[in-house]
Amino acid sequence: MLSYYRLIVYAHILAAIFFTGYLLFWVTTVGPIGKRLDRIRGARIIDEMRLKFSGLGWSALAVLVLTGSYLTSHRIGGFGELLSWQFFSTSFGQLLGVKLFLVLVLLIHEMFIGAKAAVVRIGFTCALLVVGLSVLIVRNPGLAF
Amino acid sequence: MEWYLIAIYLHLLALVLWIGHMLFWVTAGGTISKRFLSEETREVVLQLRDEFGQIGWPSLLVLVLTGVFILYQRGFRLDSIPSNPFTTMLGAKLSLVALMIVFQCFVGPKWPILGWVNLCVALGIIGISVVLVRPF
Repeated sequence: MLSYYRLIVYAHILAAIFFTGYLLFWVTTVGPIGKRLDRIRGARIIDEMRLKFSGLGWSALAVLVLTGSYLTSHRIGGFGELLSWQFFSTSFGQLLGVKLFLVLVLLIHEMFIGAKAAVVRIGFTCALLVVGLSVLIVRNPGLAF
Repeated sequence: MEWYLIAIYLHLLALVLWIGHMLFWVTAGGTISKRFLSEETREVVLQLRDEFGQIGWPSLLVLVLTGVFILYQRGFRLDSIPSNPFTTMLGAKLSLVALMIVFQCFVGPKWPILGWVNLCVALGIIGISVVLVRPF
């Protein structure tokens, strides 16, 4: 019942859940802080939050990238496929390509976390889209690659 | 097939928002806020958490509705439940879900230590779901 593969899937899902909770935290704090507090006080509070909380986001992203790399390699049989354009012409390759692009956006977004409410909302939307793409990739038996 | 995938997406969306919020606050957010933030920042952060963090009930409703739909789509009917390892695991998962509903109804955030118990139950549900979905 327990296998190495399943443990990696479990770790990947837990990290994704934690990261979404982390982004939800930013969405529900940065916007209201910007609206309710004066600019200087709001900026001071957000700077402190960024200092104390951003390590959590980077840690979750590190787990996601490591476990995600393993799972992708397991699914497509090595990373060599990712270098061929032919792979990205398949329906599976296209979905994976969009997902990897959104992950890249999330990594860039993490560098600017808390900077603006709009930036946080973009990151949160990307995370929810990544969840949707993962459903399509994992639960779609008709997907060809 | 489309409705099935949409239901799975909504199910996962409700799960990641609810459990993600819980996982973040129970394991890290709460401790960091209480121990490492200045009084001014802590006050603002905890106030906003209480104000915008009430997602338990809406998420639970979406999880139950989409969960029932997914089971129906997979051919489960109350009058003919087969006896096999899948249904045994499913029974364990549904028992844990019932436990979380009881927690949500009667305990909530009143006793913080039980938050850890609730989180462990949630992680157990996710673990069982991984085994149910990835049967190899």
